Amino acid sequence: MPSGIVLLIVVAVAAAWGARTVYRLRLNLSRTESELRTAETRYRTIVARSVQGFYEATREGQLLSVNESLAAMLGYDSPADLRDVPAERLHVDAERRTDLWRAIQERGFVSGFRSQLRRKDGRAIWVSEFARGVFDASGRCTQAEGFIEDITESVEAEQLKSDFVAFVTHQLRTPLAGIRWMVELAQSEQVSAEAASFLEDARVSAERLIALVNDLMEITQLEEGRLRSVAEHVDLVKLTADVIAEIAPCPASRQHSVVATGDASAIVFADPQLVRRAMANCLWNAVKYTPAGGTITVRTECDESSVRWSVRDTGIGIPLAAQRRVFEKFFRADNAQTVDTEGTGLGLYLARLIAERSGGSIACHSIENEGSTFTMVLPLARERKAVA
Amino acid sequence: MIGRTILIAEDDRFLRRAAELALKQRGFSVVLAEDGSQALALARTCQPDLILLDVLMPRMTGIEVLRQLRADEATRHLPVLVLSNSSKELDVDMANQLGIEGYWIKANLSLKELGDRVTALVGKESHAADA
Repeated sequence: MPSGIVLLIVVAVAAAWGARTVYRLRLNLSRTESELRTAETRYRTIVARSVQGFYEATREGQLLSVNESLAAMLGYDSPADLRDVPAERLHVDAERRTDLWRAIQERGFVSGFRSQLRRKDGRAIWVSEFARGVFDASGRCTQAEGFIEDITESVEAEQLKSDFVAFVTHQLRTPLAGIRWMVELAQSEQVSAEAASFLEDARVSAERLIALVNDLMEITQLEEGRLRSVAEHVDLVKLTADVIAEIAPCPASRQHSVVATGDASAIVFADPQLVRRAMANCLWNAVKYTPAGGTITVRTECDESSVRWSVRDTGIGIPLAAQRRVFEKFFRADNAQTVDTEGTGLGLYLARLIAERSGGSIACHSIENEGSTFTMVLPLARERKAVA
Repeated sequence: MIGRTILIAEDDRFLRRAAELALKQRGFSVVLAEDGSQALALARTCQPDLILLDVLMPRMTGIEVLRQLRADEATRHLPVLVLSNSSKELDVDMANQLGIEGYWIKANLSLKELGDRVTALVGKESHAADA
């Protein structure tokens, strides 16, 4: 029976092929399992041997696991020795621990979070922490896992630098206040129209120099992560309206039409004063580098995890080569120099520091002689509470 | 009605002079101290209506002056406005804890703003009209 033989052959071939597949699958499966085991062992070894401290902890303050480095950093004999210590005893400042969990709850993670921890011998050390939250079904952060680095030495060096900056700032501000006040007194006297115009120029110059000293000091503090900042829920649409209202009375901004659109749910968790400053700097830039009669569009848009805040102008634009550098300290594009010689090259740098400090980023896109768009992306607050 | 007295504690002679003139123009009586210990002594004897207190001064810092003012029954109640040119967190915190009306950076204030703030704190001056 030829058809029977054919069927038999077909079945035999199919069976052989099937068996081979099963064998292969088994082989693959066991290979995957062993790969997984190897990967896990490797991962554990990396964590255990990491020079950075590693921990997993509950929100209530129980350490679930820690590595050798963290135990050594905090002066404990072994990870087991450290694991039994409640977290509140490790944190020098209880409020800072609250800040940490609050930030993890709101943003999902923290990066470069600074705090002081207490060693077993009682000595306090400065640490920088990267931690990610583990959330339950209701969206509450119940655990965190994080890497910790001892930054005591660099913090102490920064302290010296910061003391120095504070000293220099004071030394500059005192004579500047002297000039400012004396000019003001002179302006209250009867003088010729010409002398009055000289005095007004002197006043404007003194105030510009004072503003520059203030910016430099603020930048130094932001660079060192020392500027006192208070994070809260901030409504970016509302803040945008405030910033626009603030610059509206100035003659330069009245030459343009400023339009703002926004998603009402654009709530971020950041310092409102700092974000306001970053926004104002971007907006001033658009106002300054747009010829009269231009249009400035401010947009606030949300996706699932972030807010994109952008300012688009119809100004002189930024040459391609300069676009990569506009966020550098003291950098000014050649064509900016020709429009306005007073700029310091600090405004956008400050905006970048603030965006980064708030867990976000800033970028620019521009076509020369057509306009520029500056976009700040900030993480959306996880809980979009109503903002007062 | 007796004019209000303001004690200016400031070691920089230009700032001292400018602040003195500006406040006198508004009709305030002004007492001057060039360092911390003078400021403390004058606060005790003159009982001014407001003290404008610098922080970085010779002999005694403004923070120490403030501490001693608050420790003494006779001067505990005197209102103090700190006018500094440095904003060290430690000083700001300490001054706030000890009790002040405000902490201002001198370079960021115009004389007009300074005068307005002083007026707001001690009430309307009585001799403004004949100044």
